[in-house]
Formats: sequence, C-alpha cells, structure tokens
Amino acid sequence: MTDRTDTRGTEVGFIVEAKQYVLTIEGLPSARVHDVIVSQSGSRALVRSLADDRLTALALDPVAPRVGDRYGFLPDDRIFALGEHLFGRTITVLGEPIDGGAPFPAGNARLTLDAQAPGIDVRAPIAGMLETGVTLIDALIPIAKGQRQLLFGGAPGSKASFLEDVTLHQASLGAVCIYAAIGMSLSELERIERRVMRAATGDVILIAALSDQPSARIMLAPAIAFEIAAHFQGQGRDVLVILDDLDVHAKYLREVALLEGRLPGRESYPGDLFYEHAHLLERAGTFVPEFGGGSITALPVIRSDPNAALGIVSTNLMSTTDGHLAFDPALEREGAYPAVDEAASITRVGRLSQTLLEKQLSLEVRQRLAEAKRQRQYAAFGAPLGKAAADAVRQADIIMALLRQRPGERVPRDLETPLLTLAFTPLLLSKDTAFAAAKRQQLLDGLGADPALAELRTSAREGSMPFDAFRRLVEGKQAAFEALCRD
Amino acid sequence: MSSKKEEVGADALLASLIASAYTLTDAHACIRALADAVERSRFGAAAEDAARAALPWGAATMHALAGGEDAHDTLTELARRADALPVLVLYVPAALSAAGVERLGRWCRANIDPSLMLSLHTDPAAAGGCIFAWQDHLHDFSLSYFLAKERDAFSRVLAAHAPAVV
Repeated sequence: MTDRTDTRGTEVGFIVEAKQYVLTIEGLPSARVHDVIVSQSGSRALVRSLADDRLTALALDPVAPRVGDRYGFLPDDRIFALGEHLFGRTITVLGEPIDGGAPFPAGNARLTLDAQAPGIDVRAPIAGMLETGVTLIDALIPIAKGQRQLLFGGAPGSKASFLEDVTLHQASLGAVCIYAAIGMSLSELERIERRVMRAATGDVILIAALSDQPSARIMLAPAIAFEIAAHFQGQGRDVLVILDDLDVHAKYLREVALLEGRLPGRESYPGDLFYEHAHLLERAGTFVPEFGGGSITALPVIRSDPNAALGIVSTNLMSTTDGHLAFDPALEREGAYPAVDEAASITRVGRLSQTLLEKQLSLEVRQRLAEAKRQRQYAAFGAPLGKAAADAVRQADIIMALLRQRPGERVPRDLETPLLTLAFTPLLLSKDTAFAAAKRQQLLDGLGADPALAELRTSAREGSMPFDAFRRLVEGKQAAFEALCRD
Repeated sequence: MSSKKEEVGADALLASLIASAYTLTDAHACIRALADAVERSRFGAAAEDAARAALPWGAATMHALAGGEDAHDTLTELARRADALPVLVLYVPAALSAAGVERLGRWCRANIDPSLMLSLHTDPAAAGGCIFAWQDHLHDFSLSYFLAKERDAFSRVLAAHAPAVV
C-alpha cells in the first residue's frame, strides 16, 4: 500500500476552463476540499469541490488564469503562521503581513476552513461580562463573554466608533481582539489602522480582506478570524472577534456561488447561506479548562435598517446570534453616542454575566425608560402631563444624559453602577437634565479618584449588595457628590 | 438505432483523427475544420471548397456527415473522446518543428500508448532536458531542477575549491 500523501508532491493538474477566478482543473487526484494549490508561476488557488476527473478551485491571487496553466500541491501545506507575532499587525486572510512590519516566521498551521464548532461537552456556562466601556451597553444590554451579539444599523458612523471603542477597551483588559475588515475600501482600513491599531495597548489583530482583493479571499475572512481566535482561546485567552460586515460577506458568497454555477436561492444567495454563517458563529462560546478555557465572543455586523430588517442575511443572523444591538440612524443624527436604540435591542444571555446589583439597577433603569416612553406617547395626543408623569419623563431624561457619552470615552465597569444610581437619588432628581449632562464628567472623575467614594467602587465591583441598599449607600455620600458638582 | 449509427461514426472519425494528429491542439483544429466544412456544405458552399476544409477526413466523410441529421452530436462526441485520450503534457525549452512533433508523436505512440496525444508547451525552464506530466504526475528532468536539487553539493564544492567566490 502506498500512502496517498507520498505521491502528492509530483501530482499536477491543468486548467481546462477558467471563469474569472473560478478554475476547472483536470488532474490532482489526491486533492481534498480546501487544499491550497499553487501554479507554476506561484499563484495560489483554493480547492472548492471535487468531481471524478476534475476539480473546481478559486484563484486566491490577483492574476489572470489561462487554460493550460499547471497547478500542483504546496511542498508544505502549513501556510499560516499562528502565534503572538500576529499581535498589533495587519494581515491578509492568508496570514501575510501588509503593514510594512517585520516578516512572519514560517507557517505552522494548515488553512482550516471547515472546522466543526466545539461540542456541548467542552462548553462552560456563560459567566463573565464582555465589558465594552460603554455605559448604555454594559448596564442595559450587556454582552457576555462567549456571546454572539449582532450589530446592525444603517450608516457605519456610530457603529464604527462603537466597534473601535469596544476593541480598545477589551484590548486594554487583556483580551485578544481580532477585527476582520470584510470587503472594505483601503480608506476604511486606514481609519481602523489609525484609530485602533496605533492606539491599542493590547493584543489586536486586523485582518484585511479589502474590496480590491480576489473575491475568494474576502469570502474566507470570517473563517480565518475564527481560526486565529480558536488558537488563542486554546491558550486560555478571552478573544473578541469582530466581523465587519457579514452583509458584504454574503454578497461575495453570492457572487462566488453564481460563478460556480450553483443553484441560486432566495435573493440569488446560495442555498447554504444560513449554514455558512451559522457554522462559523457556532464556534463562539466559553469553554472548559480541559478545552483550553478562554472564550470567543463574536460581534458580527450588518449594514441594514433595524426598522426594516427583513432581508435574508439579517434574519438569518438574528436567528443565529444571542441578541442584537440596533443602531438607530435618527439617534445618530441627533449626535447621541452610542446611537443604540435600547428598546429595539436584545441580549439573550448577557444578563447572566451581571451581578445582582447590576441586574436590579438595569431593571430599574429599563422600567423608568419604558414608563417615560409611555408618558410621552400619551402627551403626543395633547394631554398635559401630571406631576408624577412629568417627574418620570425628567428622570428618564437624566438617566439618558448619564448613559450618553463621547466616542472614544470608556467608562470602567465599577464606575458605571454608582453613576447610574445617582439618577435615583435626590442629588440629580432635584435637578434638571442639563445639570446631569453638564456634571456627568465631574461625577465620573470624582467617582474614579475621590477616596471618600472608594466604598462605592468596591461595592459596585463586588455587586452582591441589593440595589435599594446600594442606593442608600450612594445617598449617604451626597455631600461628597455635591462637593464634586461645585468644583 | 440512430445512436448506434452515431457511435460507429465517432469511432471511425476518432481513428482517423489519431492517425493524422499527434497533439491535442492539432486534434481540436481538425475537429473544428470538419465542423466548419459540414456547416459550409449545408449552407451551399462549393463542394470542392468544403471538401478541402474537411481534411484529413476527406470529402466522402464530410458529405456523409453533412447528409445525416446527427452531425452535431457526432462531432461533440468526437471532441469528448479526443479529450479522453491519454495525454502526455510535455514542456520543451524551444518550439519543435512539425517534423519534430511527428517524430516525437510516433515514438511516444510506439513506446507508451498507441492512442496517446501530446500537449506541447514551450517553457525555458525545461532547458537542458525536459519536463513532462503523465497520468497526473509531473516528472522534471530539466537542468535547472537538478542544479537546484544539488545546490548544497555545489556550494560545498565551491566552498572547498574557491572559497573567495563563495
């Protein structure tokens, strides 16, 4: 018996048909799906499907393939170099650096694009919170480590700033952050490089699948992001994967599938579009120590109006993820940050990561916001608001003033809780919204630095105190807060 | 009945094709010429013009094919069978003459496979030898391949005898 791999070194195949980057090749009898093959001129192609005497491959390099071109196997199919040298670097989907930095060591991993998601036996219950540094998210729509949280909205503005802030905050907390820029222009990539890669104090990897690259490469970007994520998760690290965005990714999948001659489904997308995205996102989760520990949190992004999210891609992703953040264009136009509509957003498992105090505070805040919304709807009919209703609306406005922050501002978790609790104390209830908005930064600075308020930070961090008791504790510090507001 | 007749026709045509063409490129050029002659004949071209275009099969074959109803199917089947013939892909450093191709083709058919077709490519990398692919495997007998293979040995010899050069 001859080992099949013995003969791979000399096997060859020849292009018999080429439709743009879709190649039909005769030969290479030992080829397997997802093998990377290389032509005599060095251009690579990815094997996509096998037939009796021929295979279909997608060109991965921007060259014009010709009928008769010869392809063979790579001498070593470990083309991807996984390791800590990736931190702080911008790479292509094939793991090559494109930021002008030092070259990488030799490859040590195969391109694995069809890895199965880990089974239930190696998964651990959701525990820690993925702190975003954005009060509105951490308090009202928390994201747990290992969660898959969809971000959708129209324009990229506020969404992009939010992603940058989350990446920087998580990197500063020690997580590995992998940002997959899918089908982006060079100028968009440059913005991420400037605002994230140069500012990051931790381990960030930027995967650039730019719109000027072959479609096959762009199509691979999410799988590569998860492959890198799984590597670091296996070392016990918490990993954040941002897929920006999967709507564009789906369009590339559609283009490739149509060129390959596969039967089109709804909106001409391939019939297995749901599988393509679901089997990737299934790889997110928190894992038991025997499986390396660590977690993979996925933030897929799509560009879609949250009020009309009926497209196949958005509905597929909504059913695959554990919740979504709805970025509202109207809020963005008002200059609100984050421009997230908390009423239209959902987190299915995130609250499991909150402490008792955070859960109770979150419930109180959401009840107040819902009550104020109801009162505003009544008021829209022309009825004057009673004192209780007006107070409810004013309190909700104060809460919103505390929840809105500047892009680039990241609030530590142990400050978020006492800050929001102030909206339930006479200090702010006796004032108006403008006061709360004007004094928010002073209050935050004082909460972070004033030794008299250290007890609040400690209690918020522990989180075991019921909300009523914590509110009384905050009320007991009124003199210190008033002093902060006077400064 | 019709399909049996078509199959016999394709067999005969394939035998003629193998006898007159040694490369896949020539084989497909012959098939295209025959298809073109059949078309010309059907659309009223002068009989002798069409027959001339139908070489190497000759006028009789062309007229028989043009008179039938399944000429297109027969030619498609012929092209498919030509593609299914064993192919030796050969890379040579310089283009061969027609006589050289014929001599090479005859030798290959006598020694490897009587119905073999050549797929010839000119590749300067094959200088000092040749490169060929047979049954999905590449065999490199070029000078550059052997030089690259023995690179370390050359380096050692040079280091021993001409250290200044190394």
